[in-house]
Amino acid sequence: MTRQLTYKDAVNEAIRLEMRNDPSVILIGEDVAGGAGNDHIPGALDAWGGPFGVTKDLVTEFGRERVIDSLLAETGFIGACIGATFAGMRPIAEIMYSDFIGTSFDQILNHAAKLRFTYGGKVSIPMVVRTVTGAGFRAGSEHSQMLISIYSHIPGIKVIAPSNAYDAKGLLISAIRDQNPVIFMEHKRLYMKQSNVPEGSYTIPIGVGDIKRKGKDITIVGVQKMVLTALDAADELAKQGIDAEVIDPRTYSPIDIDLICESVAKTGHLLVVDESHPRCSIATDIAGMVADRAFSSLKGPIKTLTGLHTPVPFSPPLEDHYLPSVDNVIEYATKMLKGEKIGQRR
Amino acid sequence: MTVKDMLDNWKLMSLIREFDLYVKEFAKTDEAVGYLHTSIGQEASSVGIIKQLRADDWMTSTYRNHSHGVARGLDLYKMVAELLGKRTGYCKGLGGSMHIADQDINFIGSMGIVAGGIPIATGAAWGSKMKGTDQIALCFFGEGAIHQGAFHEGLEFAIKFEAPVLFVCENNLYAESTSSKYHLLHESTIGYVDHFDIKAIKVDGNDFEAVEAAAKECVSWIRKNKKPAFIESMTYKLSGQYEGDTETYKSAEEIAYWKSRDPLKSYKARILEVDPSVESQFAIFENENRAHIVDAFTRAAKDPFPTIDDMHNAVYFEEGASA
Repeated sequence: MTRQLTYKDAVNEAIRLEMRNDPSVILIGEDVAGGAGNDHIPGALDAWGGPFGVTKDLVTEFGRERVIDSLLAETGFIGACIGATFAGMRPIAEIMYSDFIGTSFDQILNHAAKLRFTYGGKVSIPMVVRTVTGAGFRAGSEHSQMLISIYSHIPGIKVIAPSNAYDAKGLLISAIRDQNPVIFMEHKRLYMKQSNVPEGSYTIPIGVGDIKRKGKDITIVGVQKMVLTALDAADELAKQGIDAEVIDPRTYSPIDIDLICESVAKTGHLLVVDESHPRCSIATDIAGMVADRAFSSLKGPIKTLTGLHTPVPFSPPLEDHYLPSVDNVIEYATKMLKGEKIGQRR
Repeated sequence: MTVKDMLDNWKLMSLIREFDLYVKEFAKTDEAVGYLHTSIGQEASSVGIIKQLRADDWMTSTYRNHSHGVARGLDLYKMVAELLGKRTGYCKGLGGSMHIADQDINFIGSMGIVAGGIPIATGAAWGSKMKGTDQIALCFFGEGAIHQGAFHEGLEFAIKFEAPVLFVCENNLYAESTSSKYHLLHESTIGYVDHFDIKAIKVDGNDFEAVEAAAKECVSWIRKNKKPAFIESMTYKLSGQYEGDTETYKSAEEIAYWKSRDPLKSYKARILEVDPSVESQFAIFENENRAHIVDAFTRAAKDPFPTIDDMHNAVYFEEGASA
């Protein structure tokens, strides 16, 4: 049966189903249950379920043995999750915010990503690192970053950043069942968005993008929450007679570049919308791959519409300015199709 | 402990010594590739500790891993093949000397990043505990690693989640070229752990019997109490940080002192105290060991390098693909 479910509840359901399905799946992270150490107080167990309540009620079903409040020490628990895979566990670790991954990065960059390769392909590290991304939450420069391009740069890990509840559930189940380390990015401003989500287990293959709106005039690739921005813009563009195709890559390593190239072969125009910083970003990566593989399909220059080369600002008007808007997408798309020059956003 | 057991231990220590002496000479030739780190002088520490493990226990090492590998019983030929970047090596030539390990015997890895293996060994022990087995994990690192967050976070994790890990700090007095007199903020690395309620022993790492006793005590304590323990094994590398290191930072007096405390010499003397009649055995062992090593180098030198497919297939696990 399909029902409306929030992104947050879809993530929760994916974890719950996989924990029921496989006793070696555990969840560990900062306050993923909450209240540890005060279980004599009625409100302590399951006090938080993570800062956004995403993992709420899991501890009540699976107990503190499998839903584990870690110390505030990411290197320690990410490394321990890597080690635990050798003993046959399939850990899901939560890094509370994508920004915090820096404190555990050696374990991800040099160990999780490289253990299989360095030892000749003999072992695999089946673990998931869930983390929370994205700006627009008035959370300041250290709680708002995306960092998808940093992870996607590293061979040996997979990177997933879904834009809706349906994809989140199916991709997270795939991630938990995958034999490789997977970074699973959940956008904090998508958590309360609902979509149709079937009950029970289903998987979405990692590495397969999705056309969220069919169109023939321009291809707009959105990155995570920017898929929604692109879809809103596409509705407006339709009123002006522009038929935009909106693609959600869903996974960034591997990435379904063929799907994007096929779309560009049809439309001849590519706009990539990504709220990350502009340099060395997923937007420039996609633009570069399309230029490299499908240049002859293009009727005009590829454009990227991104956040700015500044940390994410706190002040609300500035943060709103930092993020690509629906109006920005409309402006870019219309000018691209008219062959007009687009000024550099600053 | 019979004289035969003692001779077996010495022979294994000698195998490590001969291996690294050969590597040291090999490093000067044009055939040598990559970074090579020898453990000359640290043999008693490696053998005395590793011998106390059960066959299914976990282990991690560092880039200074030859002694740990040989002590854990790795195949010399596959070690050498890895050192040469050959397809027949432990890591198919994709790892190199720094990463020699064998996951088939639960030797998880040799990490090139200082302290990198500490949380991972901890996790293997923690995972085993969750799986309900009684395996423990042994984790080697140098005293330079004591400053890394990964050490403190791994240790705290092991204590908090009662992971049965034996942390072994092989204090060889140098973090690269930096003296422990400069970099340690306590007199000994024990000072970094003695505020925790764990067993922590400082031992003369060049005294085989002392190492063995300390390791036995810690391993049985860990199995009984299901908690981590810590050993500081005081030793000295009679070679440099890496082959090619000019070692100008060491004084002649210091080197002479530690040569006089060579663990092979002192253990040999100890064995001869117990049974003077075995005197002739030692040279025989050395010759046998050397012959094994020469044979390993000769065979591995003829082996092929890994293929481009080997490289690509090792990045991700893919259903149905062969590594």
